[in-house]
Amino acid sequence: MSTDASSALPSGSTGAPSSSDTATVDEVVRVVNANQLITFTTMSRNGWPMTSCMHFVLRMEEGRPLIYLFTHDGHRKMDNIAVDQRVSLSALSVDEAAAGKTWLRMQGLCHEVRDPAEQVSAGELHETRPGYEAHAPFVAHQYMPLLRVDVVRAEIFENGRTLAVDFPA
Amino acid sequence: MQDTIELPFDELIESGEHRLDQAGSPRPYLPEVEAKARTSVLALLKSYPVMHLATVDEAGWPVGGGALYLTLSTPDGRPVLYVLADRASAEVKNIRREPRVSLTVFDAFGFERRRESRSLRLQGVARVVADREEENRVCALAARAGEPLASALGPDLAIIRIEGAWANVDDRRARLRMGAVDYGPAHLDATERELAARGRLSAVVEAIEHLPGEVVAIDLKSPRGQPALPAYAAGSHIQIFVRDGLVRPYSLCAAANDDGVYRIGVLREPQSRGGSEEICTNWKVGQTVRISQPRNYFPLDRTARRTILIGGGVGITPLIAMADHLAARGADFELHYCFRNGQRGAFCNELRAKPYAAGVHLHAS
Repeated sequence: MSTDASSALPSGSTGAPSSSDTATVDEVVRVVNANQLITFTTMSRNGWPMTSCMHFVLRMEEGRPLIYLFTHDGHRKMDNIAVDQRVSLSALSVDEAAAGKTWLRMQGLCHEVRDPAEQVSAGELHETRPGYEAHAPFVAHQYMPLLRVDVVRAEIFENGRTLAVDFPA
Repeated sequence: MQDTIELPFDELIESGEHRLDQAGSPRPYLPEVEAKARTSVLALLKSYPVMHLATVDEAGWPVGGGALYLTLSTPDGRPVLYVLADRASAEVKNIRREPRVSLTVFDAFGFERRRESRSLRLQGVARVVADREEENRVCALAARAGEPLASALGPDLAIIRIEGAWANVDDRRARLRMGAVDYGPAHLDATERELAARGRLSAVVEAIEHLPGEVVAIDLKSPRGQPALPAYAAGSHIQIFVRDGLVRPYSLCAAANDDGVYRIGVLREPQSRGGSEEICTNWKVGQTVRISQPRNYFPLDRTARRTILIGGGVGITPLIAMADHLAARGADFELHYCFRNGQRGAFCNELRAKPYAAGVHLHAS
């Protein structure tokens, strides 16, 4: 099944921005940036979800989060997104002082970036993240497939409350 | 009280369904390493209180989230995880309808300390526990371990049991590189498991086509009932284990396709060590052969604005895969195929029939 997922929205999504957008988006950015790794879930051809722990970089574009992830040719996730673009991302932020945990769930549409300029830009953005500067980890990015997730919905779970924000296409 | 639990295989795992579509997954561990890997999987699961759990919603979207959990195992070492969740949560709702889940635990050390990293992906089958005795037992075990879920169980909460089917583990601290552990019953025979562990695959000759210029094109496919041959990138090659001591590399000469077919082109060379002669003369349709996993030492430059592919003779084969790939991407490229004057190029007809034929240039020298 090849998915034109632009016509489908995750459960609970209204397809319209929610009222608390700004604060929620700020919280999404905070939780994402508190992590060096994020859990990325794709759908296998036969219907099993498949989680992967991945390095990533966040870019905000007109108020909408974009997540870039570098991967490798031949990996299952590449095969999976060719069949179904719908993906999920999750991250955890732990506040040791408050002994609190904040979970973030994002859902979005994923595709392989084929524009060389965007590939280079994402690689450079990656190398500006704290902890990555000295390593130029993606120096070979011209040979590594780059995935881009256009987030369509984000939810934050914190102390029994849920905040959600939709990002209409 | 033991932290093991007797549990028959879930029917989904019993069927071996979890083994399908593992193309591109890390290979199963060698038999001598598998026991260490199984130990590492359980140790990793027991090291972390929270997991990233992914379920599937009614529309087919993956739904990621976090969960506290408790790890048990069956006496033969299969992981069995218990997760506490709100009865109204997406996870419980999704699992009641679709039991297939995936979860990840990892040390979030990031890039600087990647050589100390530990990560685990487990694909499994989840069921909401309906048996009061099992609930009580899990709560008692959790209480003994001081787990937060021990005292939390109430009418609004449910316990989810996840039975491990397939794990990929990467535990650098235990000197264990990424590989796979299959927790299902031994449906694959020992030979297939051993081959997979050593990076070898069984394949069946699906078609043989004799081309001009003493070249034979051969299509290979996975044996019936086995997972599809792994996906590969344009430029990849496989090794063919022709017979003991005779291994020959051949480029894959078509872009990876949904059918999982590998196509190779073999030039008959009577003066060689006999590998090509054996393949061209003796291989028959339906025959089972041994091949390696695909490897790519000849990747395309993904940043190129325009690609010019130039190949001669049978050396054109990886470039055909690249041209297929570039054409599928709508990339700007041209392909030049050179062959000896007086001989018909083996792949001329195939290239003339490609949708990108206008970008193919034939050169007879």
